Amino acid sequence: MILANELSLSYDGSKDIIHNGKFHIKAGDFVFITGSSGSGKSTLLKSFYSDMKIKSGALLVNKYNLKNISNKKLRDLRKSIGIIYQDYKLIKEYTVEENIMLPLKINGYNDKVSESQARKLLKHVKLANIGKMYPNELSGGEQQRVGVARALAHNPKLIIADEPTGNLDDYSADVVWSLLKKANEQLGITVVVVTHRIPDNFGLAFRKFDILSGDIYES
Amino acid sequence: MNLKRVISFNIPLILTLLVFVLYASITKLLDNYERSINSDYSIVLVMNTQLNTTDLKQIVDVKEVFPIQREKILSELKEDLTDGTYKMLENKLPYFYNIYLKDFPTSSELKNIQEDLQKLTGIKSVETFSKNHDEVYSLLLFIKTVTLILFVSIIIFTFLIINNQVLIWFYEHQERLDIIKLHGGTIFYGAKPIIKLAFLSALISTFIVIGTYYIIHTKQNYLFNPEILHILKQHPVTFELYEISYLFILAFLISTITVFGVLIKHRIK
Repeated sequence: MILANELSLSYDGSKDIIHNGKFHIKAGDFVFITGSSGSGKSTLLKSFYSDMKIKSGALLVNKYNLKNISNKKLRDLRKSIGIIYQDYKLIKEYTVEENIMLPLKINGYNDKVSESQARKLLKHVKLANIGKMYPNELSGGEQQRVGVARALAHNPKLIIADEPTGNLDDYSADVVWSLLKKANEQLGITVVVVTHRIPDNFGLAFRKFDILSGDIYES
Repeated sequence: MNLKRVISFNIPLILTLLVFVLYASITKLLDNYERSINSDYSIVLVMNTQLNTTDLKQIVDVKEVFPIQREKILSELKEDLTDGTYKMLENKLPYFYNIYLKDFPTSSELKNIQEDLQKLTGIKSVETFSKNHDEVYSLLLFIKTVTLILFVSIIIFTFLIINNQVLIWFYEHQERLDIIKLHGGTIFYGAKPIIKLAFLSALISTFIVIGTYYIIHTKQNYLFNPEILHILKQHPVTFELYEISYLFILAFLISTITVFGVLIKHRIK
């Protein structure tokens, strides 16, 4: 699913943020990437969907080699994964339903199929009645659940989440964790989450990567 | 859809189409005018020998050539002349021809034609209608040129205005475009609203200009002074249905070329 070999990442060729990282995330894994602020965990996550260029080494995600990836392949890679952001990244001009439909429409599904899938997912994230509302009318927790629904919309094999509960209260955070666990457990989706803190009593087998001074350790 | 942006797209397009209609109207008026004055005017050739029409057709685009009846002139004079004088006149009297051209020439073209005709074998003199090359025609030619310059300038102005509007749109919607890009969408997918706006603006501006033209056409008695009305009535300007489609094609090309130009530039970046 994700294979890194001697992976180094840096901004504009300066000091390595990730240095010679080597790991293998297999299909069906639930992985936490932790580390202190500025340790490079979000940078590593960004490299998984090629929002961060590789300085050296190799990185394969869903069989796409991300070193010098073409625009077409990059689009295909991004279409095949679900991404959850700390700041939600919902389109404010779109309704909740339209936001969830976005990856489906980009993947070529028609309006009818996309709408029906969006409604199903809204029920799944327990927001069945807010489909016609706009993101700025929702609380942070609700917006993040919409973000999770959007990440699940096109049945990706891989979901990557950057601090998905970083801005949420405990209740909303619990809901998001539970949705991600369900996605992994019931749908077999590989989940990679960057977080400051792994929730107590997570109740699911997971792998944990720590980033310390640019080095990645699995514990 | 942002009303301000719709207006910003439409105003330059409407201006362009109006000037285009003006240019097309003047061109049609001028064509009609040329046709009518062309049938009223001719060039007279005075020749020592009979005219060789093959040589003539190699020099100018001739519609018709009419010889002025030499025998008729001679027979009218015969009674007043002695036989000797008549014989001498018969030998000396030149041949006259009226030439009608296919297209009405400009003053400079007419000058060239006159120079070319002077080279004909047996030519004695060439009388053209240059003195009568009337002021209305020259004025119409001048207006046509000015309108063409105005049309080209307004097209450039329109490209610039729409280009700026598209750039502002991109700036305003950068966040949305970034999110779409992160989900694997193309720049063209993200820019669907502005592409739709370009198409819609082409439609709106075409309808507005057709409406404006219709009003001007039906109310011309109130809008123009009698001199212009007289010209318009003598040389009516009408458009065929297929010519109206040129308006939409022009508006559509201007707006979409600008939008796609910015999109492609954005995509390369």
